[in-house]
Amino acid sequence: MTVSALIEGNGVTLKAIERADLERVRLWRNDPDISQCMVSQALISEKQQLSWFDTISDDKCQQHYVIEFKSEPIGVINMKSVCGASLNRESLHSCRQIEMGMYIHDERYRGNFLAFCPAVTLNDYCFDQLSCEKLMARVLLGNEAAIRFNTALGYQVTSEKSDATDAQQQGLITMTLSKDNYQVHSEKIRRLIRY
Amino acid sequence: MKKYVNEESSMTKEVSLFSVFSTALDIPLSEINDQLAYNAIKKWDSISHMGLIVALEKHYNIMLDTDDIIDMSSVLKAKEILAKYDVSF
Repeated sequence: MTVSALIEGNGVTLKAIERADLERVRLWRNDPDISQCMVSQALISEKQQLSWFDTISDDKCQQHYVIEFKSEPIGVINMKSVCGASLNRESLHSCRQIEMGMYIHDERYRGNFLAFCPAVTLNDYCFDQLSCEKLMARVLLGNEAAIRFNTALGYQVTSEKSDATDAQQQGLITMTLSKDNYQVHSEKIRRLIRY
Repeated sequence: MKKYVNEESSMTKEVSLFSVFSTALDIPLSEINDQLAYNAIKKWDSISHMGLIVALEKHYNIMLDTDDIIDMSSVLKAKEILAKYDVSF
């Protein structure tokens, strides 16, 4: 199967980023509240954004979605093949490990329980539809909220790197999530998602 | 929507609610007031919010809609939401 451009579940809709979304997403991504949590915190120009979109449009190893809640765009979630294999399941070398990324730009929902809805939706998709074996997330060492969020989903810290030259020298930690761990940890989150 | 039946006084009900917040968020009872807001303090984030919701549902024997779980942004807002489940203050 090829990666879906539209995924719905848990009260949210994930829509593959389109050209019409680019400026909104660029402004979100350049917002210091968001960029301070990113590995690269450099401002993104319109030209860079277009170039990035051209690159990802043809790339079978990554997919980026706008998160919609009650028909309003509130943030971005993405998945990238870690090994370089296509995310598509019929591919000869299917992807076993996928890196996830997400941010909620809408202030009403930032740091809110709602953030679990797109995370669970895409995690389920990766494990159940793409037959992925493990998810991975890279988080700035100082981003305690993201670390706690990922831990609640069942992620475990697998490595710490403190010699980062970007991201204000904060260093990065890598967290990984196995399907078994996810199923155990996500259970209490799912009990509260009643859409 | 499962609703709540109780005949405690308003004061007792408020103390009872504050006590649930205090225990679930691990904050002294004296620091709980209507203005206390989600994400305004480190101890009330999306993770502890889940524990709070479970504690409120257990205490009042109700089941909150997910929209209400998402909208519960302060103690005052919690009172407004709980009122929909017949928990008045």
